[in-house]
Amino acid sequence: MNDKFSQLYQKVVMEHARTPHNFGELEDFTASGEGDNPMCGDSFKVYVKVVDGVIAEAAFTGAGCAVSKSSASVMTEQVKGKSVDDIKTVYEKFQEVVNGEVAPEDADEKLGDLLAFAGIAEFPVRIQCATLAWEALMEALD
Amino acid sequence: MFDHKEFRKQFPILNRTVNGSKLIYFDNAATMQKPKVVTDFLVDFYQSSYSNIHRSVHTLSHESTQLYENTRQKVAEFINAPLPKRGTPQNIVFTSGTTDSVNLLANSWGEQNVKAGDEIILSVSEHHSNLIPWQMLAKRKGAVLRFVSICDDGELNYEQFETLFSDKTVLVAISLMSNVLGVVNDGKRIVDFAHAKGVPVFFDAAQAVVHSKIDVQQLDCDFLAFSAHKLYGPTGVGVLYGKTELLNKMPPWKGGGEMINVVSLNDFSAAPSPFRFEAGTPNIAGVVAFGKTLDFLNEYKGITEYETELTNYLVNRLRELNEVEIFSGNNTVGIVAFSVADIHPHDLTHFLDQEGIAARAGHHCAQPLLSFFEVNSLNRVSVSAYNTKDEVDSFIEALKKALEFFAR
Ligand SMILES: Cc1ncc(COP(=O)(O)O)c(C=O)c1O
Repeated sequence: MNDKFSQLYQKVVMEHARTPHNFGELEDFTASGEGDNPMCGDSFKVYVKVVDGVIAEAAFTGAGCAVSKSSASVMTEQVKGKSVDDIKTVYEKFQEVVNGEVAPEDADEKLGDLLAFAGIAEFPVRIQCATLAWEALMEALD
Repeated sequence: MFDHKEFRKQFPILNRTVNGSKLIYFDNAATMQKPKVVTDFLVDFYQSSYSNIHRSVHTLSHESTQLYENTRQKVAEFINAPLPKRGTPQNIVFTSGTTDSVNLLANSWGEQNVKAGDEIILSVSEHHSNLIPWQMLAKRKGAVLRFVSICDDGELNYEQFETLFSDKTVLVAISLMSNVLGVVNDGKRIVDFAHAKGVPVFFDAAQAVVHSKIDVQQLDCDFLAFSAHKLYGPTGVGVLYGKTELLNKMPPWKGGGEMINVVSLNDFSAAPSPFRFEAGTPNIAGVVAFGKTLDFLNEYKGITEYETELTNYLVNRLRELNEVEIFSGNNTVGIVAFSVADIHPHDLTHFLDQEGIAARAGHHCAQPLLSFFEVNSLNRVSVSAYNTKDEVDSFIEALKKALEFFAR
């Protein structure tokens, strides 16, 4: 398979897709949001527990492709312990990377595993796969 | 005997490469590629005969009008619609596509004939275009939609269908062939039962017209629709067939030029069918090129047999793979829906695209059907007469590669 495709489906992505972290409904969530992609039928619900403006817990349910599922998994890991304002900044930076506006090597290191999704910029039709869970999160935080 | 090699040669696009591999176009149910005679004809028509139709006495207008009306005749012959002794077949209305045809029917026939409490029978496997217009009508009128279920093999549940009728039933609107499962419905059985109850029948033949011979007189359906682009023809052209006496009772839906007899400042009288439903300048070049498409298709015999054989081959090869679950039943032509264990359809079709194979993933504009199967997304490959067994073999090899890739 060609490099760009293999880059997209790299180890981190495949691992999170196969065994997603934080998969399941939160028992005591304070907010939730939904993200649907009508083009492919992918659909996720994201739950957060916000305490004093900080995300204490995050989880998700739903179904989708490897990219959307692993993105949801990585996202829920990354947002824990961050303030709602910080998360909005992270999302902005993440969008810059997946849209190919900022090269992964120039991106903020704090994005961590989120940078695994940089390869999606090569496949514009799939960018929404990487951002679907984020849309649901933003709805929850609004 | 169908000469598939000769047929394939007529489609220049099939020689291109995609992502470094030779294109394998397996998304025919979405739309079909066009033969060179049709695309050449479009250019030629614009360069030599083009003019507006029905409006002027000059020679160009006469030529365009004749080509346009000849196509109406060809469409009527293609689906064996009754022909008038002379003049234009009133039972063939040109629209912009199947979707437009259904909207015409729902807004014209529906507006006139459906009232609060009335019931319309559809099936759970309808394409959204034969669902949403009826939902909109039902909401407007306070009417009720009732749904025929399907059996495990994707066949309509005919027994349950018969139980859906009541004295409130005013219409049956069902696809002759599902765009997801490729299952061919028994149109005659549907019409016979509905007519015995005095209920008219509309068939969405967008897929059926491609893979089977449509004979509206034998079916005795009241209305039927399809799109030219799914049948090797240009985009933006569709057909609504209706029994002439029914069409002439229906009010116009869109108003404008061409659809009138007499107009005063405050009133108009509508022209007879089909003109009352063709307001404004239609897709003249598209319609005329569709006529050329039908000429082209008429030159080939045995297309359906070839497609059936190819589909069977495809299904059998897919069955060799334990990871594959096929959702289409046995009675399918052209279209096969399937899932692959542990690979989401979106990931798989993206992988296949890297190998030059155009397939499709998603809900295929039939979300209720996928809910019925309790899945969010399915893979669909759809073949046509220009596809080959070699392409099926390449597709199976790519599928095996994908299984390896995603098992890393
Ligand atoms: C069964 C069926 N009905 C209706 C349609 C809608 O056709 P169009 O988009 O050409 O209006 C399609 C196209 O996908 C179809 O497969």
